[in-house]
This record gives sequence, structure tokens and C-alpha cells, in this order.
Amino acid sequence: MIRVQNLRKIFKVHRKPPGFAASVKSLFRRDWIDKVAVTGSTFEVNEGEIVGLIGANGAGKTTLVKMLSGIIHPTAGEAEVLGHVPWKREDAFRRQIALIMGQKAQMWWDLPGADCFELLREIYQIPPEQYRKSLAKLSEMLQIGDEMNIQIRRLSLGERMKMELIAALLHSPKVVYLDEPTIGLDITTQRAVRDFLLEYRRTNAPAMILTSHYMEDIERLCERIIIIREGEIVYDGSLKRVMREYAPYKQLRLNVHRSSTAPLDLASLEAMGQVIECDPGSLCLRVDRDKVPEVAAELLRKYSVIDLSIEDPEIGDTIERIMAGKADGIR
Amino acid sequence: MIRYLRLYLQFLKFSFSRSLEYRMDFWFRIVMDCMFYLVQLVFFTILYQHTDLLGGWNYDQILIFVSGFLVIDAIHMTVFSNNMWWIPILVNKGDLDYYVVRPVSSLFFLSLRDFAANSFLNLLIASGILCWSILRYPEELGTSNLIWFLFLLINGAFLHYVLQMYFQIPVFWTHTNRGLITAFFSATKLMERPDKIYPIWTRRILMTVFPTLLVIALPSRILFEGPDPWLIFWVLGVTACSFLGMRAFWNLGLRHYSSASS
Amino acid sequence: MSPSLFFHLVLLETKKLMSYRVDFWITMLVALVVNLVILWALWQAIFAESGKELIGGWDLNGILAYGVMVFLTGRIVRGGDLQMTVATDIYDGSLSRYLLYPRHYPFVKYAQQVGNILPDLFQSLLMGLVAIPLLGISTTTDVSPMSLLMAIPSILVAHLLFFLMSLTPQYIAFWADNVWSLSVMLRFVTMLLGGAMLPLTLFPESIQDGLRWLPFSYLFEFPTLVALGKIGFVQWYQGICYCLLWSLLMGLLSIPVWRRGDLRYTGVGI
Repeated sequence: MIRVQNLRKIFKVHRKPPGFAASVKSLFRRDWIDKVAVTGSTFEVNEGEIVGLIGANGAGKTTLVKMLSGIIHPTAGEAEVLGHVPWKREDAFRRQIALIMGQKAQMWWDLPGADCFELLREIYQIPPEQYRKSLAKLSEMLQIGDEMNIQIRRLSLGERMKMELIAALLHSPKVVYLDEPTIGLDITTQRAVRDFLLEYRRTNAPAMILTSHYMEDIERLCERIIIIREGEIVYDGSLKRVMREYAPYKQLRLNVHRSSTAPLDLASLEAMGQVIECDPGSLCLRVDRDKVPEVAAELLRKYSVIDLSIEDPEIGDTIERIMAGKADGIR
Repeated sequence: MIRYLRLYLQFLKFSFSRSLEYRMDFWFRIVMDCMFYLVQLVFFTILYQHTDLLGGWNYDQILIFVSGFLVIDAIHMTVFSNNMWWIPILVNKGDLDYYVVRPVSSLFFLSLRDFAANSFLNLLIASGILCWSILRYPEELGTSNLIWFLFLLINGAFLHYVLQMYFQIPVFWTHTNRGLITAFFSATKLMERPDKIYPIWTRRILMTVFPTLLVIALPSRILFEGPDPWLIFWVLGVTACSFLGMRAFWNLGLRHYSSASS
Repeated sequence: MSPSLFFHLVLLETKKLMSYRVDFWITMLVALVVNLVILWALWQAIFAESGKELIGGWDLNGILAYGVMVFLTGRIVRGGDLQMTVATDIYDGSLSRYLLYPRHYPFVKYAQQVGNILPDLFQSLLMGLVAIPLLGISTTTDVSPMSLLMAIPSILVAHLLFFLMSLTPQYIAFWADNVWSLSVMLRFVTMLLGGAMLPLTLFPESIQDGLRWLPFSYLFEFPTLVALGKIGFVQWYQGICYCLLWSLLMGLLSIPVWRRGDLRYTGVGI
């Protein structure tokens, strides 16, 4: 559904040294530097797939989404969405996509949602029957009732976001881009939005690309993630694989009887793995994946253990490490 | 006082650097204002093709009058216009909070913080046009006339700002004051014509209730006819009263703002 | 673009404008009063001080009628508050949303502009009803129901021309961050050369000749003269054709500018 090949985007920005003299000079002559926003991305997204696009601020996520929705032109490279080149902006293409931006309201600020929806019906030429059904369905899923008749600007952020979702999905797009759809929302609304998106995927099976800074969005919604660092894709694969590959260790956490058996011996612990925490009653070790059974057995033998847990490290931590370029084995 | 002067210098520095950032806009604005000056001069030149006098003033006099209000406009564009543009936006977005909490008069801060450096060049150009129109004036203009004229011109620019604030402040209550501001700008067109063309009752209104003739028409009259103490007293007195009233109105608006937003 | 979408956009804009009720009426009243006062004072003074009966082919009442009429039609032609909306969309990234819609952006914008016409037309009509009886009879104008009827299409094509004319300067926003100054400039020039500030017959002959080759007079002078009954049927028909021709030209001019600018669009703010 979405095919991207070597997509690049370079922005020209003008560089000005500080100081008044430089300001005056820049009026007549400017130094331009290239800022690479996206460096040759290649990937594909299929029907019914939700792909999480992850990266730090300024990593190029939004630029990528903007190119794929046809808002901006790339500097080089190719992309095909539903068989169209996005930035050619053919009507047939635009009728099948939607972009939802958590940061930017798309609806008419001073009109009630109902009016905006009517307008969108005209813009997308949605047949009346389908329109009625979609609207009823979407508003039921999002539990929107009377709010539809209130000016958008008078709604709360959460309600507004729900309106945006309805507005974007009314025409049943086959490709949906979600740029930080849960930003700024409270926990309950975040959850509602996530549930809604899952439900929407179940019934409509669109291809979705989601960017978010909230790990919970990613964990709940995406089976596959693409991590971007400084415009470059550094990881593309399943969420599970990222843990296997980039977090090749687990954390062993155990509580021991304080009085019994041998005292915790730091030197021998260090030999088993990296000691993260070592208090009289509790202990946390980071151990290579393949050594886990062996180390666990040894710990159980040596100490009188109350309980032992083997945990994966936090996904967020791992991804953060990848984004910062610290994880091992990064391309 | 010194503190405010220093603060203003900071505004200046900041604004200069910022407006130089937008190169195209910098040039556009200069060209735009020049175009405005040209249009005004052409307008009166065409009128004088068909009459010798307008409101008792001949072509040489009208040129000084017109360049006078070009200077007022340039001062307005340079010092106040950006700030005036922001006030309704700040009020509506609730961003006024940032300014209200600072230990500086919010009126001062919000009226002057954004100095339009790109219009500054236009102020020079407009002043040049004014000098030219005065120098080409065929008769002798007394020194005291000139000094009073220039002083009242500055006063006029200030009065213009004060009057505009009366149309800005209602935004605290009405949420949008686009209409009011448009109204203000159409109303200021009244000041761009010689005072004597208006019938007596209109002139009275324009010297008291909405004293827009005091901005430039009366200073010009003083330039041509000599400093009339009573007239000068009137101009300055009305300006002072208008300012005090405006400040009270502003404070009222602020009080409404804080009670409504909390 | 389908007529129903066009109509829908028009209605929506109208609604939006009407929702600012206070503004709507204040703008109207103050502008009307101020314009009447200035017009009357200025021309009455000029006619008195020059001692002339006719200026540029107009008597006092005629020129006042021209002033009122050009004010009433001009505000419709200029399309009110939406003058800068294209540039603003580009500047703040609102353009993105329109790019997503399966519709041509300028058409959507034009529909919105037309939406602004309805309230303006209504306002102008009301103002006309108040102002015209105050004017007195002129020997140099011939307002009739027919002339007013003919004025409506003239105003609509003039509005189209103004919209298309201002499109290109607004597209400059793709390169510059702030182009309102360009639009203001366009306004000054069109107001003066289009006859909104003064009847063009007051200009020196040579300038009048030059202006005939430019599109400006179709913006303000032409619809006004039509309304005042100073344009015959054939001339009217020709004028409308010329105006449409100029519109086409302006529209064509904007296309390459849009294409170039579009490549640079970065969709800031999202």
C-alpha cells in the first residue's frame, strides 16, 4: 500500500552569526546551509498494518509523514501510496488518505463539528447513505453526542481530538497518517483514542503510520516499528525483535532473607552480570539473555531467595538507547 | 523611568535583529510604505489640478500637511503597529498572563515591546519628505512655529496611539475586535483631510469626543498661522486627558481579564 | 468543483462572518458614516473653493454619488477580511489541510471569498438604502433599477479579477515569511488606479489613456459607472468581457508561481 524508496528531503536554512552587524549583512547576502531532514528512507507498509514511526524531536518523522501525505515535495527519491505519487496530489489519491495531527487543529475553529462534517461530506463527495453510517458509527465508537453541535473552539482538548478523528475518517480512508494523536490528552482519553484506533483497524483495515512520543501508544497499537535517527532509518522491524536484538539481556530481580545464608558477595555477583542494585534485602542484576537460566540457578542455590523475577528491560529505555545511538549492533 | 528607558533599548535591540531575519519582508515593508506615501501625494496633487485651495490651504501647505501625517503614520508603523496587532491575539489566547505577572507596567510592555525595525527606514523617508515639503515652502515659517509644529507632531503620534487603544481595549470583553479596529482605521481617515473642510459641528466633535483633528491638522494650522496658546493648551490637555482615561480603561480591562480567566 | 460544494463553502463563510455580529455592524456603520462625512466635506469644499460647476464631468451630487457607490461596490470587490487568507495559510501551515483535500486549493479559497460577498452585498444594499436618498439629484448620473441590475454581474467579475490579481502576490509567501505588505501595496495601487479614491476622469488625460490598457479600472470604476447608469449596454458587455480576459490572464500568471512555490512548501507548524 505504501512503498517508499530512497526518499530524501533537504531543507535550506540560512545561517546567521550572532550580532547586529551580521544581521545587517544578512539583509544583502545570506549563507545557506543544507539541513538534511530525511536521508534516503526505504520501507513498505501493508494493508491493515499499523507502523509506529519513532524518533526524537527533529528526527524527521513529521517530514516523512508530510511527504507521504503529499503536503511537501521530496528532494529526491520515490514513494507510492495506493499506486499514486503522493505529491502529485491526484484527487483519487487524496480521497483515500487522511492525516491526523495532534498538534494542529484541522477543523474550522469557529463552527460546530456537525457543520464541519457536512462540509467534508461535500469535499470528499461521500454518498449520503455512507456518510450517515460512517458518522453514526464513528461518533458511537468515540462516544460523541451533543458535543457535535458545539463550536469546536469551546470543546476540551480531548473532545476536539475526537472530532478530529471523526473528521479525518469520515471518508473511510485506506491510508491513515497519525502524527502524535494522543499528545496532551489525559490518560483516559489517550486510552479511548487507542481503543478507537484498534477497533477502527479491525473493521476497516487501513494502512496506518503512527508517530508518537508515548511508548504506550506504540506498545498497544504497533506490531512493527521504524526508528529514525537524524533522518535515517536505524531500525525497521517488529517490536518483539527490537527487544531481542537491542536488549540482549534481561533483568533478574530477587529478594533474599536478610539473616540467612551467605552475605551478598559483590565480587561474585559481578562475575554473573552487571549489578544494578544491591541492597541488603534485594538485588537486581542485568544478565545476558543466554546466561539467564544458569545465573538464576546459581543465585537460587547460593542465597535463600524469597522471590525471583526475570524481566525484559523497559521498551522505552531500549528505544531511547537506539534513538540516541547507544544500543549495540546498530547499523 | 530610567529602568523603562533601558527596557525599551532592549526591545529595540531585539526587534532590530529579529526583523532583519525576514529579509523579504524587510524590503517589502519599505516599498509598501513608500507606495502609501506616493498614493497620498498623488491623491492631493490630482485634487489640486481642479482647485487652488482646500480647507483654506494651498498646494504648498497641503504638501506639508500630508507629509506631516505620513510622519505620524511612520511613527505609528514603527513604534506601535506590531504591538497593536498582537494585543487582541494575546488576550484571546490567554497569553496575557505572561505579561501581567512581570514587574513592569503591562501597558508599557504591550504597547512598545515590538519595535518594527523595518519601518524605521520609512520613518526616515517620511521625515525626509516632510523636510522637503517644508524647505520648498515659498514663504518664511517662523522658528517658534516650526518648533511647536514638530513638538505637536510627536504629540499627535502619541495621541493617535492613545485613540487606537480605546478601540483595542474592548477586546477584553468582546473577544474579537477586528470590527472595532477596522472602524478605527476608517475613522482616522478623518484626520487625513484639512480640518477646515468639515462643518463646524463635525469639527467640534473631532476636537473633543474623537479628537483626531488634533493629531496633525491643528499642528499644521499652528505652523502656518503661528502658535496660538489656547490651541496648544487644548491639544496637550485633550491628549493628557485621553491618555489618563485610556489607562483607566486598560486597568479595567485587565481586571476583567484576570477575573474571567481564573 | 461541484456546485453543491461551492454553495456549501459559500454558506459556511457567511455563517462564520455572521457569528461576529458586533463586528459586522460596527464595521458597517462607522465606515459608512466616516465615508459620508469625508466625501461630503471634501467635495463640497472643493466645489465651493474652486467655484466650478463641473469637475471631471461630474457635478457635486454626481461625484458624491460616485464616492458612495464606489465605496459600496469596492468593499464587495475587495472581498473583505479574506484578502490575506492565502498568504496566511501558507505562512502558518494551514495550507496543509487544503492540500489533503481532493479539491483545488484556489477554488476552495474562491468559494470562501464568495461566501464573504453575501453579507457584504447585504450590507452594501442596506447602506445604499440609507445613503442614496441623502445624496440629492445629479445631472451627471442616471441611476435606475436597470443600471443597478447590470452592476451586479460587473461587481462579481470585478471581484473575481481582484481575487486572481492578489493570488500571485500572496503566493510569494512561499518564499517570504510575511507578505501582508505586498497585499497592502496591491490595495493602495488598485484603489488609486482603479478609481476607488477618485473618479478616473479627474486624472490628467495622459494618465487616463495609459490606464485604459491596464486592468485596474475594471475593479472599481467600471462597476460603479455601471451602477450610476453611465455605461451603455454594448460598452457594459465589452467591459465584462475585458474583465474576464484580465482575470484569465491573472489566473494563468499565478499557476507557474504556485508550481514553483509548492516545491518549497514546508508545512510549518505541524
